[in-house]
Amino acid sequence: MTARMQRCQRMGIMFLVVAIGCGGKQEAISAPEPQTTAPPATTASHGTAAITGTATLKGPPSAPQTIQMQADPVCHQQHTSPVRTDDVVVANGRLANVFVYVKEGLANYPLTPPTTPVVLDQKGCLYAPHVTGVQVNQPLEIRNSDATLHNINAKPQGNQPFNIAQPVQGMKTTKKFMKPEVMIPLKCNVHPWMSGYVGVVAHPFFAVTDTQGNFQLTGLPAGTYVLEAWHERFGTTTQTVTLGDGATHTLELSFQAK
Amino acid sequence: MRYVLGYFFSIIFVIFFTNLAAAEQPSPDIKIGRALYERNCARCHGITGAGDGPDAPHLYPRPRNFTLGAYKFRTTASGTPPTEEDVFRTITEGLPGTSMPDWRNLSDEERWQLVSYLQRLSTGLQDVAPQPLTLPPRPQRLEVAKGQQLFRDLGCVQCHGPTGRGNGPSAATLMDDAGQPIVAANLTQGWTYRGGSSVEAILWRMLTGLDGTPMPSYADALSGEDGWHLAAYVHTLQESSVWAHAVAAQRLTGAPLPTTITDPRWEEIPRAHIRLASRVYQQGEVQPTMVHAASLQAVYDAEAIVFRVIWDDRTDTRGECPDVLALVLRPPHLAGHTLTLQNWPLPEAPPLDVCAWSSETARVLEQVGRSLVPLTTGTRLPTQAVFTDGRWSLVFQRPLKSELSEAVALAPGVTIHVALAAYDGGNQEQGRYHASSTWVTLTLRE
Repeated sequence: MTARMQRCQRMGIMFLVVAIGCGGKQEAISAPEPQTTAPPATTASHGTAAITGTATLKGPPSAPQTIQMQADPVCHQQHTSPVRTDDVVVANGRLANVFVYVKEGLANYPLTPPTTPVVLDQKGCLYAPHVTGVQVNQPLEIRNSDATLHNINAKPQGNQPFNIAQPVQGMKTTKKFMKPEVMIPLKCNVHPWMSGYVGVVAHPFFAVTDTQGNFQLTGLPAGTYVLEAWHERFGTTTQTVTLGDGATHTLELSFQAK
Repeated sequence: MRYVLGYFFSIIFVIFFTNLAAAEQPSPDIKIGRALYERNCARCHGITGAGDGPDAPHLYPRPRNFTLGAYKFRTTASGTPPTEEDVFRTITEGLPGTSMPDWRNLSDEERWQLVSYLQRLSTGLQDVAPQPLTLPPRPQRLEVAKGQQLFRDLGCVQCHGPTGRGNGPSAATLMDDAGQPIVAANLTQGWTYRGGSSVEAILWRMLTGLDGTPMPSYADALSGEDGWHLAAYVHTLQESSVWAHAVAAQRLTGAPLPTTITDPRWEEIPRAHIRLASRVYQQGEVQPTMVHAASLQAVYDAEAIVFRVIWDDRTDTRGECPDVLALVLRPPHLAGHTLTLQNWPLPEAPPLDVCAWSSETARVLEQVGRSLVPLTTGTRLPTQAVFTDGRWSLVFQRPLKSELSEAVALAPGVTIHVALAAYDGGNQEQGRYHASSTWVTLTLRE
């Protein structure tokens, strides 16, 4: 059958599945699931527990390079001091731009994608922020604040890719991602030093570490969670955390310099 | 009774036309599709469609890797698969400037079966549905001046350069999705536009972007009729591709020969557009050369002949691997020899009369021998060479009868064979790695 008929059939099946899935009442979890490794899943949408912490880098990082922006005067003129590459931002052993999220423990999370967009800007020919996160189907609004052409070239693995030109200052492109994916790389072909990452998660419990390496996830329901931290150069690290109502767990996410 | 007859005929009508429609697009039969694919397509595109067939190393550009799901020539939104009609069109018409031929020798049904089979191979975007786009209505008048303004305002010059020669500020650092260097198209070479060089085809490329390459979709940035005006302007950038195989040198009397590139008399002399190509292998794989064409003009008087050669090169490269252009004259006594510049010089090949210019020596040197380049010795000829906006222009003067022994002697009425060879230093072309033309005749018209 044609692609259009296949799509209609798929949508019909999806509709049926959703209709059936949303019919029942919420049931309290009475016993852990039979898997030995996965923690029990919670169905509550929020709670009073929190995880806070710091991402650290052990070992000396390689020295950052200076980005040469002379090929585009609009980029070059916006910077009064040398611009360093933003793949490794570390100060006193504290690592910024680490994407932290709950990887396991929220399998049945009742996702309601927010309509408020997450904003990703292109300013001074750099992505701001360098690493960001959205929920599944939450709008990501990509802005061009520069008076020069940028193209947003996104290369996801599970989601639909795109390569959109933004030649006009002030232009906005809004995209949504239908599947969780950690992480989707973004780049600009016109300015090859530009690189950014977007994490797509099926719940709101994710964060990006700041320049102090700090992050916090609040409003978590009680439960046992596997937390994963991702850095674009130093890989991933995970920790398992069990939280009771009102508890705050503090931890350190440690990365090894390569 | 009338109503019954009416119903009867309308049912027959419907059955007739649905059957006709079904005959154009057969229901997919994987056995037929696979057999057709393996017989016709797999040798380039590979058994799994990964672009790794046994012929693939001999082709540039490389055959498409269908498994990624990304296609360049579509009528759908960025990041979405092509429609079935898009794939049918590419199979039917082929892609000019590549090794993808047209497959009109296959029937319509066979080509539709291939379309269905390719859908099975294109697993990369299998969860994404095509999003067909529509062209905005074509305006009454296409305004090229408006299109030129848009070409600047929308950042096209950043990659394609001020006059579309693929030499913009960002051109040198462009990478495709596989992380391989890629060039921005030289828009003056319409015959290289894979998806077609008409205004409409150009507009489609701008709306959809070329997936897998840096060329993005401008669908959100082009409003109303802007796309048509911009495509019309790009269309005007295309230069002649009527390839010449015979060049006439005009005789000049009563005035000195031109010595500069900008002498207005060059405008009165028709340009011979000559195609340059190559078949260069490195480590078993074909490598591209960057100079695809050059134009040649010649004018002579009793003493000397002056040539003007113009060719596109994205960068002015000097140093150890400079830009080079050679005009090679073939001695008439070699008329019977099998000889080509593609793999010349070979030790057993006869000597040729070579006039070679390089950006490093900044002069044309003439030598009869077995050396194409580098020429560091030889008779120095008066030369002017200028690089402007991705284009070299070269003028040099050669006596009709050179002092060099064995040099080709020219005289009014004589016809000889000449060929061009070009090296793009920016692409590391040197030695045998160059582009060259076939022999064309040069006649000194009396």
